[in-house]
Amino acid sequence: MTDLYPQAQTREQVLKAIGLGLLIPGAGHLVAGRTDWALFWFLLCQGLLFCGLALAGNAQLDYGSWLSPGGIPVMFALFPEVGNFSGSWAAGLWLRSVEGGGYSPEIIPFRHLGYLLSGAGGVLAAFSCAHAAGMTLMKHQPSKSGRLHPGTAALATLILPGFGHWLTGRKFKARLFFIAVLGLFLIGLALGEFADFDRQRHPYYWIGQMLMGLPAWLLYLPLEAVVAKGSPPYADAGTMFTTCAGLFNLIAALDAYHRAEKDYLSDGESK
Amino acid sequence: MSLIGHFMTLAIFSLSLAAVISGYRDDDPKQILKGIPRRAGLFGGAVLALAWLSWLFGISFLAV
Repeated sequence: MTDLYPQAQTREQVLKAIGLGLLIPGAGHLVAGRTDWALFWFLLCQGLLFCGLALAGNAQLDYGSWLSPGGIPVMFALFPEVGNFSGSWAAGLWLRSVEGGGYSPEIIPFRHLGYLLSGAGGVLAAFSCAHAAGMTLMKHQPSKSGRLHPGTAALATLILPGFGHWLTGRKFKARLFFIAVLGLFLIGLALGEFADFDRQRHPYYWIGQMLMGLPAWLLYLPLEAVVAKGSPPYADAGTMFTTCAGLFNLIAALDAYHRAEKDYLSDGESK
Repeated sequence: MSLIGHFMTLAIFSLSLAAVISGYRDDDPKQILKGIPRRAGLFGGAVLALAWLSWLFGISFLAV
């Protein structure tokens, strides 16, 4: 079966939606003419980012750094919050961490809740672009059969690995991704005695771990209280497993989008 | 830490990686199932080959 692609004009609009969505969450939905969704994503992503920053005393900013070619502050590289490009840029420019770059440690009661909210906000902001792309496709090439648009399939993968494939009727692939991705994540956690999902201990690995989506986000706060006894022998392998599981989930989301797009176009107007 | 533990972690990771990549490459369950052992073997084999080379270097010209 030959692959189906959106028409050239639609592709241009989809790329525009993704580009705008990456800059400002929700802006991509304006290309699709969906002001309601644009407002929803904007408020959700900015709300999560700035609530998270407020709860953690802006301590997240200590994990980021400016990319300033020629002295111009182009991008505040704070991952995964940078999925909300404009929000993280504004935060980096105008807010200051109470810990002063990590040199004055503070006791912040809601630190990890703050990390969770701002991190999840960044991941959601990046995924909102997929949703905007799907809605733009739907606007320019409406489906007569009311098929699921690809953005929903990609977002569903963030709720549970494989859920996006389940929604498109690919039950086998849904089970496969669920077992392979979530299984790897849980085995990784177990190898690190459930103590290695922590932004303060592993800030770089944490970026990948957050891409696991809802299952990881729900486990983050309960696992904060866990402290490993000594040094678990396979802790390094465990940290690598959990991070790779997050990255694998991203691959699953891309596949869910691609397959759903193919289904959508196979019985849409562009057939 | 034991050799069996290392083999187990390599096997788990190789299988998971192979499952995700096969799922990404193919849409047909039969093709996916066919691709998993092949890709897991390729990845695991490559890691084992590198490990063997490292060991060989360790006992030969890099030996202290």
